Amino acid sequence: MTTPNKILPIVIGTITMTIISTIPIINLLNVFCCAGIIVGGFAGVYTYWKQLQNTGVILTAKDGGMIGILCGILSAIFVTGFGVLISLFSDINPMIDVMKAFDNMGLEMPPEVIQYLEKFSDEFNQHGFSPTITIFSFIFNLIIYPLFGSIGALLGVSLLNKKNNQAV
Amino acid sequence: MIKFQRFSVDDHNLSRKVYFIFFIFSFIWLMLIFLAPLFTALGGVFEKISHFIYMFFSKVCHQNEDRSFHLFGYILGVCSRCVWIYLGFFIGTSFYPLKYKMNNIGLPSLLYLFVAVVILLLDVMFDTIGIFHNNFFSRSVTGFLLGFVLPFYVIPGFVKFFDEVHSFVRNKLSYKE
Repeated sequence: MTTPNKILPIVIGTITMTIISTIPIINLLNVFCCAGIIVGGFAGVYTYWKQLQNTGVILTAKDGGMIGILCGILSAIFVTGFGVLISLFSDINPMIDVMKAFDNMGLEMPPEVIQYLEKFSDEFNQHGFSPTITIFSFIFNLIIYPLFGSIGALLGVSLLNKKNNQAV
Repeated sequence: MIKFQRFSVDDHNLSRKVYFIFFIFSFIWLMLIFLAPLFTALGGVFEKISHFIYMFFSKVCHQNEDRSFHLFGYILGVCSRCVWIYLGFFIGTSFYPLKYKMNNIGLPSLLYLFVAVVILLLDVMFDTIGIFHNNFFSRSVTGFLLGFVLPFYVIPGFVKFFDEVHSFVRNKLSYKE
């Protein structure tokens, strides 16, 4: 009995997570507790489950969880990478927009916050992106994406196996 | 083909560990949400830490000022709906051992999850379309409902996952020996 290759499910899951997280408007889905990442993990497991049909192999939580975690790690890398590329090509300094937004809201920023924003703004002007924000963003992505990806994938395993059992 | 569905794992010790890691993790996650405004109010080094907490949660929530609860004059780490989702998740995790054994891998009816998701989506959709404007109460209730039911579907999945990984590693090691 041969188990299908897991590359396709990982690719599908990673693409789903990355698209949902990078395309404007669609990425609002992640505002609901990373729903987009959960959907990506689920998509990966669903693809693997489809591949397993008619092979006699049962979808295991181990395989599902691993798919979710791997999709999460890869998406964290791609999303951070795309973020840097978009900053480089768009030539926009988002820190100026942040400062304007604070001004429009009539909020008085503490001097420390202004100092940070100016530092990040200088980085954007100098390199086209902020290395500090990118590093922190990457670290946070590496925590959040595999975590929510595995939740989506394991939810998928439980739900799809339940569906299978009901069908028998 | 006959399939035997298992409803529990054999390793009680492992499932207990998985549950407690889950419990502690959801508690820390919830605490960070409340610590963000507290640290900002304390100032100094704490304020710097709070910036990182806010930045971390900005990945999972819009942190809209108008849709968030305030503590000490500053918004919590996430919006009101998310606060109640995570609070519901923590309470659901706390209640889990009262309903199921920790080594359980069986799921409750999907209807509960479906209803909670649909109610939350309706609250969002009606507000977006303009049929009715949701408020702190509706966001809190719908968020709490979803958060509360989620652990009953997620914990069995994680218990099964770690049980299978543990068995896999043990088999590999015994094979090498």
